[in-house]
Amino acid sequence: MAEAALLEEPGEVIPPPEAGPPPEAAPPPEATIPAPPPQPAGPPVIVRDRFVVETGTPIPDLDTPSAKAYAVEDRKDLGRKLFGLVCTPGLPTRTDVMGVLRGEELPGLMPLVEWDILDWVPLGQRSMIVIYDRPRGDRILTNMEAGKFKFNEYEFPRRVIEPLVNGIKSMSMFDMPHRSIRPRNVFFMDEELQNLVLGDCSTVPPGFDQPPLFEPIDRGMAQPGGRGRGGLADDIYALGVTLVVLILGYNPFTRMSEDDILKAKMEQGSYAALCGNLRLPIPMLEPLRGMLNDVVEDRWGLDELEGWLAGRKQPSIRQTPIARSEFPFEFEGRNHVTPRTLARDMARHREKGIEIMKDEALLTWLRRGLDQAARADGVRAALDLAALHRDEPQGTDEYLLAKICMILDPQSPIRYKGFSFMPDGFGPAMGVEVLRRGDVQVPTEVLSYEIPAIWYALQTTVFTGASVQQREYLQMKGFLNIRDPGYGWERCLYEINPTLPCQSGHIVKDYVIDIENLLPALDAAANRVDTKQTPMDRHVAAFIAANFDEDIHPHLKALAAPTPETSTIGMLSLLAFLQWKLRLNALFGLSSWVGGLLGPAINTYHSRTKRRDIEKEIPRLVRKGSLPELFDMIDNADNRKADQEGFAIACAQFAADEKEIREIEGSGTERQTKAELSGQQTAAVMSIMMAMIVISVLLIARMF
Amino acid sequence: MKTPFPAAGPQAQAPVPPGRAMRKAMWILLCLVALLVISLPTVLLLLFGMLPTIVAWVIDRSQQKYATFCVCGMNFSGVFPFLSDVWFKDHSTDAAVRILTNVFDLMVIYGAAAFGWMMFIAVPPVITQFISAMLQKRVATLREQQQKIIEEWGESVSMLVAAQQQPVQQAQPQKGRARR
Repeated sequence: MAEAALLEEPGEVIPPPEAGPPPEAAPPPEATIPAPPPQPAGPPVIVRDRFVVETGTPIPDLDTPSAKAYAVEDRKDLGRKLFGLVCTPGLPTRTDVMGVLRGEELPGLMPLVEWDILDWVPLGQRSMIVIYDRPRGDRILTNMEAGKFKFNEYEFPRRVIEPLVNGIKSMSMFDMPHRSIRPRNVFFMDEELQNLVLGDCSTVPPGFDQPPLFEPIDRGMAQPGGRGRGGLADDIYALGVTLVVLILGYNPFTRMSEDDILKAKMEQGSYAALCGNLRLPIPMLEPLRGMLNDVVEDRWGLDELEGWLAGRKQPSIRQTPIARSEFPFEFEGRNHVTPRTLARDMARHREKGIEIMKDEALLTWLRRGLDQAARADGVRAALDLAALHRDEPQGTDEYLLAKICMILDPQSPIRYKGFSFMPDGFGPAMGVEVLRRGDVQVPTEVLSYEIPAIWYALQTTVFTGASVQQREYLQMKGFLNIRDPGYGWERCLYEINPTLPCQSGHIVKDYVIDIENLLPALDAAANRVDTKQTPMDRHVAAFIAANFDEDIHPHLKALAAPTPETSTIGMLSLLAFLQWKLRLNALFGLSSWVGGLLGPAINTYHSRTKRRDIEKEIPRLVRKGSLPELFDMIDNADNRKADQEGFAIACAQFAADEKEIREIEGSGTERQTKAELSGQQTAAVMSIMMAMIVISVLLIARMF
Repeated sequence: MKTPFPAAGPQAQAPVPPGRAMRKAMWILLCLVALLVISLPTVLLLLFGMLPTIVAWVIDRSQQKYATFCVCGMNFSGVFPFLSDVWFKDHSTDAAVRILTNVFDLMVIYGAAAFGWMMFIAVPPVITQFISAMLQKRVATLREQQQKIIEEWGESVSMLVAAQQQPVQQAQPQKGRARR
């Protein structure tokens, strides 16, 4: 029963890296992208010259909703049991988590052995694999169903809660939340079923694979990609719900829809909604009440949990009452008694939501039913402000609806045109929205209209990271407003998703997440793509701008030039700068590709002789695979100067010649007159000369 | 609009005062009388032999007086043989008159002058043709040079030069209008 229940857990929409739904995932209800066709298993793939990934040996039992599990063999230790999770390409992964967990054996966590990018034949492209020590004891729920793992309420804290708390504690040591705590992600590492650990959390964005049940109310309302990084409090909450399921041995909420669970949580509070009707051991009620507290500040932390495990009495838990209306507000067939549920439904049924947000009945309900005059005033002010900005984006119904939903429920995720995300989860949310659904418009509008700023302004409590996040949003808006290559929404995408592979059509299958691998990937792509296209498309430029630490603004400026010659030189200079700065080896393919596109750049030289010289020289430099040398030849300062000077001299010479020609051709009668005068003068001189000759001859004749 | 001041230049020199012209004529007359007294045959021969030159001087309205020089040179070449006869053989008025009344001698003298005039008519067109041919050759050379420049540096050279000259040409009428 529990298996069936948990089949319905995830709400992700992205197909796993192999055809067919994984065992942990139900068929995605909103999936719009078909799963890739089945591919034949290829030969084993070797990772880092050590781990052999058996592509023909999948392990469905260890699949996650977004990653497929395969058997892995360690060449250095053949007895070691490993498995690898092949990530879904196009999903941002948590390489920061992989970095800190690699090679560590931390209490309560499944040991992460290695991670790398590999050629994945079943998908016909490269993908990321995360290799773990294989749990020999299977999932805890599987053992419970099989009757292999039994416990009583006295053993439960020591055998289950303590190792899981240790897992959370291990993650918190690195200031990183796990964000994938759910019953199906808890394993026994040993066959004796003693060593309980938390499973993978690095193959997807935080909370992506989590069913909303295991997420706090606010994050549960966001779409999977937008649940946000979260923190320790979110892990504690997920632990609380996980413990409820583990105590019972089944998921008691299978008959409730996600919607109903969320509504119950919002109206009654998480603890009351989840535990109110269940028969749970009395000693467990206190920690569950602490862990499932909806007020983050009042939720139990690690200190309280460890204190409780150690038997120390914990301070009494403060329960903040939920504001409920004295009379319901009917919307879309539901009677709402809290503004939170109403805001959620308004965001889900936008057309109707837009109608009622302008209705006086809403304001009356807020004032009289909830006695929240300030909130009603906030809604009124938003309506008035929208009326002032009628012809601007801030005056649109969708913007206003998003704003009013935030006013009604300031802790909720930002919901704009059906795009919902927590402010710390915009990056993955945008990544999923853009890359999987192909919708750029809504995320860019969120940035352009500064919608997150409304959310931050409505928060009454200060939380860490708020100012940093706001600064990042402003920076993203700045990038978005620039349309040049290296900026725009592509730049935002890579800035806020540092682990997202480059999505350029040339190299998307190469799964490039490091700047060091970009040029080699383009080098390899030169043999298979149409080399009439430029290698520097908007994704490549944005990826470089986001991941390369050096100042490349001059290169991007040249790249954005409207003239093809300057743009080509900008492309070459940027690629050459990368190869030089990253000390990359020869790039024959890319050099050849770029060399074939240099026509406009070569044509910037005025001298035809110089152009011919360069064209003759290019094949030699292409054979060297050196982009810096290619660039130096194309844009050598001395050559440029000599060419400019030569051109100036040629212009001057041409102008002088033209002037002289015009003087000759344009003189007309004046020239004729001058010629005649010259002729007359000549005749006169000849006459005088002849006279002198005659006189001289006669005189000489007379004398002698 | 006429300028209030007379234009400067050789054509617009102030007229010679009447007293000064008179003095000049007096001097010429005095010299002529002296020459008549000293060498009447020479003066007679020159006066009548050089008549074509005098006519050429009268009808040549150009400033340079090339026609006069042309006729004068050849005319004198025709007169000088007879002048030398008078000087070296019989320096008398009879000898001078005899020469001047001899048709063949006069034909030689005036034929030489006519040759001078013919030179003045025939030589300038030849010279003009020659100069024209030279200039055409020069234009061809310049065009060839421009073609080589274009072959080496591209059409942009000519376009650039044309663009540079165009504003100058456009500016000129504006300058004229402003002046009006």
